Amino acid sequence: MTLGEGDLYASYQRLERPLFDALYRMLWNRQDCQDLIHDAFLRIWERHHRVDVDRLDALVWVTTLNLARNRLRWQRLWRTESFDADWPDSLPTPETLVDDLTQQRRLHKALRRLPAAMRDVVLLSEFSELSQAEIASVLGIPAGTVASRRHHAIDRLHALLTEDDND
Amino acid sequence: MTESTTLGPKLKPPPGGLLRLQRAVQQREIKRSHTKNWVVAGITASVLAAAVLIVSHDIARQRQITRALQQALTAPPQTHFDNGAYVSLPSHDKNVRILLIGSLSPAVPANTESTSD
Repeated sequence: MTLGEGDLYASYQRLERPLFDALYRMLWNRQDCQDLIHDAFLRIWERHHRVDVDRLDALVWVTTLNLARNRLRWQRLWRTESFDADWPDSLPTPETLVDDLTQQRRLHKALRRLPAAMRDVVLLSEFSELSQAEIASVLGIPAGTVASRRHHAIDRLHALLTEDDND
Repeated sequence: MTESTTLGPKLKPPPGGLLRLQRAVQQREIKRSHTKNWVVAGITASVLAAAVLIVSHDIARQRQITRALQQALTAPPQTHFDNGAYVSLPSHDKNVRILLIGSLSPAVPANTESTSD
């Protein structure tokens, strides 16, 4: 079954939030994340006659992650990394704001030092609500690799955060 | 430390994302429809132009042949032929050749049967 406008919008409503959560940990800029999600859905719409609705959500994740990786490469190339520190939904107190900001910066730094393959597994496992098999399909890796890579990635992330605490 | 606390709280995307997508999709569909109409109109115009050219060329050629034939037939007979040979008739048009082809058998009149009383 080919993709219709209704399917596309339903998928957007379903995935906007998890996509935003994952992308924010890669790009650290709210507007960039929203633009990228928008671009990914439009790209999919451009070839909607060839898109299978049953595979839509996985395709959205693949397309969005590819666009995010391209954006990160571009940012590294031109050294235009952003960090808008727009963290919680509720208004924070000055104390929690400082704590949150510090926590964000530490996480930002740690995630940037984490290898991309590990980072993608962690973010998808945490935010995508996809099964292990689906994550494997999105990332193009064997299903068994997802669990082991996730385990290593979490260990590495904790190590990086601890290392940052000790600096 | 759990993953959730490590990776921070879940966030709320900026509002208006879906509306923006819907507008962009609709604009693209309108643009695509216009492009399709222009392509169809272009192809139709090309086919019509080609047809007009072919027909007008054909008509001109027919007129040329008719005129040359009329001129050849009205000219005084200067040629003769022997038993099935063809001869060239003078043509006033350099693009038209007129060949007169004779028959080996004599022409049979349409009404050859004689009635006897």
